[in-house]
Amino acid sequence: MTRFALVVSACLGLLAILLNLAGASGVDVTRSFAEGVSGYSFDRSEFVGFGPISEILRRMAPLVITGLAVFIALQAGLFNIGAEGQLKVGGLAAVSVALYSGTPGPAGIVFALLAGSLAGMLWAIPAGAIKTWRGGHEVITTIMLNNIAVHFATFLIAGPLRKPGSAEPATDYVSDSLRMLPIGDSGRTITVYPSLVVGIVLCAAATWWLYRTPTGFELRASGANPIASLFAGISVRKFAFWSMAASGGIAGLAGGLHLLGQEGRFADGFSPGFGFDSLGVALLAGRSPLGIVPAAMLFAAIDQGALRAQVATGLPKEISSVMQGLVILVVAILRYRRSYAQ
Amino acid sequence: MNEFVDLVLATARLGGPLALAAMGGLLSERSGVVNIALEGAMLASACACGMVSASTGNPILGVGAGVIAGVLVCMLHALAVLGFRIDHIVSGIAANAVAFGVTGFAIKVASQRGVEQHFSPLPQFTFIATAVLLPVMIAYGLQVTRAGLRLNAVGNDDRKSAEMGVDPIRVRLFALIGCGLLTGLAGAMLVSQPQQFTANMTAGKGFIALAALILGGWRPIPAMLAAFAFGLFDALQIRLQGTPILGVQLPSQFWASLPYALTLIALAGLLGKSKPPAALGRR
Amino acid sequence: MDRPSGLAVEMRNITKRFGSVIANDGVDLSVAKGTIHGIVGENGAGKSTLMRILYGMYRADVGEVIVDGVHRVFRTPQEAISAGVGMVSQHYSIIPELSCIDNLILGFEGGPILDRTTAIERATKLASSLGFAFDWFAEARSLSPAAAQKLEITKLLWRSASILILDEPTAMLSPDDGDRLFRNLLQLADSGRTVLLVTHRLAEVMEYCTRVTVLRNGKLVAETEVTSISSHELASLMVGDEQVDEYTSPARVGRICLSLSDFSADGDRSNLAVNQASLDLREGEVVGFAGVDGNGQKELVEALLGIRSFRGAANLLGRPLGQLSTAERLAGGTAVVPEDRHAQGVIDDWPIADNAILGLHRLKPVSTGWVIDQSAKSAAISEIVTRFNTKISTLNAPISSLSGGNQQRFVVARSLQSEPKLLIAFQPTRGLDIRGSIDVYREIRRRCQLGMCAIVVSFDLDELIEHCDRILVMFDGRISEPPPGATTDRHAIGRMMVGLSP
Repeated sequence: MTRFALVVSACLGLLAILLNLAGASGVDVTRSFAEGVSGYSFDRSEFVGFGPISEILRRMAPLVITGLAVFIALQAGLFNIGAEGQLKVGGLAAVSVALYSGTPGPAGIVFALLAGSLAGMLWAIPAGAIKTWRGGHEVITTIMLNNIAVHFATFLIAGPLRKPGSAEPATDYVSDSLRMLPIGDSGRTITVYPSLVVGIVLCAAATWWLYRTPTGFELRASGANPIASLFAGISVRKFAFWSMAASGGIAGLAGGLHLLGQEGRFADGFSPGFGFDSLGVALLAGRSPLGIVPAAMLFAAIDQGALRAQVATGLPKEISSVMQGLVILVVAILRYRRSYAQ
Repeated sequence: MNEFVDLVLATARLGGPLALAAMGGLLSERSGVVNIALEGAMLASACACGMVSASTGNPILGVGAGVIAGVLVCMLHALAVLGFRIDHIVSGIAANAVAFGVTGFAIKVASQRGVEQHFSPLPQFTFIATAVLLPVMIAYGLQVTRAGLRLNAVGNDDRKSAEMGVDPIRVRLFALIGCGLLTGLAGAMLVSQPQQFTANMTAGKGFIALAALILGGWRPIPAMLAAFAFGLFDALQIRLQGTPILGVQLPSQFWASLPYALTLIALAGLLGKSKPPAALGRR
Repeated sequence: MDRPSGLAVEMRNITKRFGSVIANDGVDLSVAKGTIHGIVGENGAGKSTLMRILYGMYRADVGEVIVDGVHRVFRTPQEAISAGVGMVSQHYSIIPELSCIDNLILGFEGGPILDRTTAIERATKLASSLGFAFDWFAEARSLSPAAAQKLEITKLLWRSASILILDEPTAMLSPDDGDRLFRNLLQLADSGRTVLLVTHRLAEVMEYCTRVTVLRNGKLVAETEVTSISSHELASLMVGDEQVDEYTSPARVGRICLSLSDFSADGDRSNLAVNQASLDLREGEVVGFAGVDGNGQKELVEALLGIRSFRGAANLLGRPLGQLSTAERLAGGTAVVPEDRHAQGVIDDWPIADNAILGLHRLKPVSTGWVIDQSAKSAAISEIVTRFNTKISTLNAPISSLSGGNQQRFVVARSLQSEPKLLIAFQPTRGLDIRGSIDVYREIRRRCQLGMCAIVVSFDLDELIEHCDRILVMFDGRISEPPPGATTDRHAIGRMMVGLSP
């Protein structure tokens, strides 16, 4: 316990040093941070609106689905660091289909999302195949695929897919009939993001699937002990391959949902690293996919609070990455201790 | 001829940091510790080296600061992995996030205060020579020194090594300190090319170094060669942009993606399977 | 100093707890210099724990360790080694990826720069004093179990150990190699070194040891001269008052269950691990596969399960196995008790409940096809844990919270849960005491009387002779059957196990 307390104090110490470096007051930062995530104003001692909460929901939407993507691979024992690339390729495919297929309305949306999902899956398959048949580590292959995805997307939006007549490296906007716009008035009520709803439903479905079906059981077993799984008649290779493909498919879907829901087009740098943040989210989630939802909310709240603190006190918002990293560390340590205590 | 010399120099400059970081990764992974925190260690080192060099005007102090920063990140990884036995990749992800945040934070604070960022670095030659010589020394050291033998033993079987009176934690701790040192040099070399630190300037180079390490089968000289091959592709990419190949003008992104695609192809088996240390990643 | 002269090791009142389990409870041990001292007891009696304390791998909670007259507290093996204590653990501490010479010098290299030439010179001298020879630059993975054992002993000499601990040294050796080992140990004892022999094979103790210490349930039961005790008395001291009822109801043999012809399988190094086996096993039979470890047993089991491919024909109740996946074979009536339960049998950090359906998860009634039937799952779990009266606090606790013996019983019970036609049990009593072993065999036999056929692979010939209806011997991938009249002759079978004629 003392060692753990030391770690926590070291983490707080690091944050204090950073605050001190930036010359910010801890009280001010904490206060603006809290205001930024709650919507409560300490100056006016009142609740000023749902804006911050809606903003957190907006930020967490892509993290939930991408987190689920990473989670599924993680359950099979694979680190899908390539979610970022799969998300980009998926988003690009979804937007392209939405722009050029000419199918309007809900059918068009479904069509676009399927395309996004398929593209993400295709982008993950090399990593799954190399892992399954050649034993190449997925961390390296997915990072390579990420780098290729960046260049591939840049090439397309600078060239063939660029909005006609525009100099900006971005596609045109998707028509409104193919958008999944948020419901509710940001500020006065809580805004509902369709992609978040889809994400939560998917997490619930994944929980049921992992814990109530033989296939889900096998996926978890193959990640937890591949050799024992072989003796239990589980095709571990099949799960290594398909979990990676499924992970890519979900990440691609996340890209499509995010672009059709929030951005409306594909522009360079639309993802501030959803794929990487979602690694942390999936690691925090614990055993059940439903844990992804609060984990994503925590990450979104940290980002949101840090942004607010930057506006209010000038403290660089990069502090959020530090906090997220430390949270991953502390939770991982806690979880290890618990599994040993039993 | 001139162009050829240019290309060689560019390869050395671009491949050097990768080779140094790959050697850092080699020490760590041959001892059994998976280290994707190379990225964060390199970034922290580049940041510390850049800032200390610029503020003191002394590039040697800067390199020293860079090395210390690299070691610090690796010690964070060591604490998590050796002290608390958490998963190596989880710890690496956390360490990278912390390093990314702290360096981004620091550079922003520095520019808010108008601190001078530009510095005049040590000559590139010193770094390049180190990047070429170190792998040779490490290769030799692994063969003939007690430290090399123990590193190999622990990396292949930590429990049996413990039974033979070799303390795996101690060996891994030293390996990670060595890893921090070398990765620190890699970061220092990286930042001394633009002569100024910019946020997230490693942009995945730590991972590329890891890929070089794996492509080199966790052996020092092949890993160094793989690192310089990445450097060569990077150098070629800049030069081949706009040059038509067989009458087709390929986009610059094609050349930029090529090394990554080749890594995939290599991992897919064209270079044969390479065998990792047997106890790699074991908690 | 109240030390009697001539004691190499003295341990007083050693107590060691692991959580709530007391592994050693006030154990005393005194070992005279220049002798071979046996330490016997059943699995889990606390022998290995006591030796690990002496070797610095564990620290005793209470008690004193006196080595060569000096009080010692070893915190690491390194410290024990420098005090002259050396240990060969049951599974050896040879690292297969390193060369023989590197394995020999590891931990005791003699300086920061390795001098292999000088080391080989000295090592060759040490080895030849016992009649050993090694190819020093060969990778240690190429060593046979016997050669690895020899390297381990040379390693102890390299470290100038005067006190040699050997934990079950003959577990992986053929009877002949075992005899040779003991001749070497006697030679070492004559040269003034002290040997502590941890074993459960009483014959070894009776033949080679001077004194013997008996442990039971972590407590010291007796320490005596070997000449003053019979092996029968020793056995009852080891087992205690527990009445051990003898099996045997004869097998009622039915139709052919498993039939192999020209059945071959490759090993990991593309060697021919199972070499053209042809045999018929019948319903109701408990068939023991005897043999020294590494003669194709692992490959045979894996090939029968579909984890490894095979050539030739295999039929289970007339149905060819060749094209079937492991899952299909499990569904078709095969069940397995894997050799290494920790690595192959359970998922350590999973709850007991989930572990209980591992391997049953695709079979009816646990699975209805698409979903896991929760009530069938609970029913299966409670049958599995009650079969051997496994004491379990909560089904949500991780399986690793059970003791090794309970985990083993759990794995055996689970394998019987699907009411298999063919049970493949690899070392089914591993980690069990005599009582537990008997329970396991009784349960296997009960199923066989209902028509199951059981293949039991074990490296313990005595156990197989005691419990099986029929014994086959595996040597170098070939399966042979003892001639009529020699079917329970352990010497004849022992000769077959090393490739000699019976």
